[in-house]
Amino acid sequence: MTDHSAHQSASNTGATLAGPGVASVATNPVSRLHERPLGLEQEPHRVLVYTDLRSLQPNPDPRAPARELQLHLTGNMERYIWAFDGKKYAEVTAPIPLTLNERVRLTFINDTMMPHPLHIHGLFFDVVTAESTHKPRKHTLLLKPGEKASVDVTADAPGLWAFHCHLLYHMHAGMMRVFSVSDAEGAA
Amino acid sequence: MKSLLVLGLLYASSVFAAEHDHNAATTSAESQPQAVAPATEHDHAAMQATVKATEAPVVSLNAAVLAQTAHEHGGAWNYLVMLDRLERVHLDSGNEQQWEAQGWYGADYHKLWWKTEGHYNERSNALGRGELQALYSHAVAPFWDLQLGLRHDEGQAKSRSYAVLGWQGLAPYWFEVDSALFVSERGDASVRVEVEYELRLTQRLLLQPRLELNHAFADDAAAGVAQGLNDSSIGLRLRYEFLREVAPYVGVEWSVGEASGNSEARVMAGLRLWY
Repeated sequence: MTDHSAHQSASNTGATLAGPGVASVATNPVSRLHERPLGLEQEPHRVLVYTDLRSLQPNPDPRAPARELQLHLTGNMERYIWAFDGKKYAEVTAPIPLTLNERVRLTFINDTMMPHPLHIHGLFFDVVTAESTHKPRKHTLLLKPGEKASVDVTADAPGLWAFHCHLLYHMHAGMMRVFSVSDAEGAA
Repeated sequence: MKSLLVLGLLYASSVFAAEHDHNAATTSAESQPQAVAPATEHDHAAMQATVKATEAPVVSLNAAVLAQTAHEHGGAWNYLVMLDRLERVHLDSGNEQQWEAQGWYGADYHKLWWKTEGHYNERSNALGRGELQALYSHAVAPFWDLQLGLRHDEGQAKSRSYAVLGWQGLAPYWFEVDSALFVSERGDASVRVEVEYELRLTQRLLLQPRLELNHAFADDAAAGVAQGLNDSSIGLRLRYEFLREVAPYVGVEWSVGEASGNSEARVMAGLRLWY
């Protein structure tokens, strides 16, 4: 992890990517949004990939993100531990705070050896591709193994919003977080 | 999913959650077909307007909700019971029934772990040796547990109790390792190393080489232990997993030991069960 110190400061869980729950770390994560999903690489028919997508409507919030949060997807198949930043949901004590109406970039790094469909409630991912004003809008983004991908989020809905791997066994094992969206005073 | 419902309940006093939660919207559309119209009007701009017009909730996770959601998202306790070897061994000196089992109960990083093994001699109709270990097992690395506890042996020889320091896990290239240092109540030390490998011949047929070494650093004649190798063996077991949890096998094993002073080949048939 060459950017480990940067990650430490960017992550709001203060994670160290080590321990019994972290079997592997992506040493050179790359964008794979242009790649076909696992299992469809050799199909003779056309397969849509994320970089083929373009929002029909212009994105509602054209602002550039003011800050970036990094989240590593971590796991250990042998122990069946799945988590973010090496910490299961059960091990964190507070939601990840977002300020109401802020524009934030979430960058995901998949340190595990399998794809994870990341799903957010209440908010939308504007997937960061070559598109500028018509980024594809998703509430679920499939992260491939070793992939690094970013989404821009407008925190326009006050409240507590679940964010988790939509492989529900992984969610129940701990690959889940809650985002809290509130104004600067802590009340929405 | 219950935890998501709990989260959702934080907003149950307003329609805000139902309109804003993807899952909630989908559920209401599926369970109440007459509600399709509002649920399919899933226009994000309209939803924003709704949010801003709604009195906002307090944004905090109270302790009860946090405890409930934590339990269901990485905080659960689980268990395993693995009856690894339940086998009948053919010996010239009289057939034996042998067993080896272990299991655990606990969380991802902390477990109560038990192990038992032994043999029952059919000719003398008596317990040859039975061993029970009770351990605390701590996950110290992605593939390794450090274990600490007690072992007690009963059988034809004098019974003994031991302190146990164990190191168990999965070595590179998928060798399953179960090793321990024992110190008896007399102060005698011994080590045990068990290594297993599972060679998958088909999806259900597996060939399992297994090595067990027991080395004592001192004689304990009353307990039937001689300095050097005791009850050590190398074997091959071929099992068929009718179900993952139910797998009969046949095997052959060569045993060596200072105590017995000989080496012999044995054949066996057995059953492997887990749940």
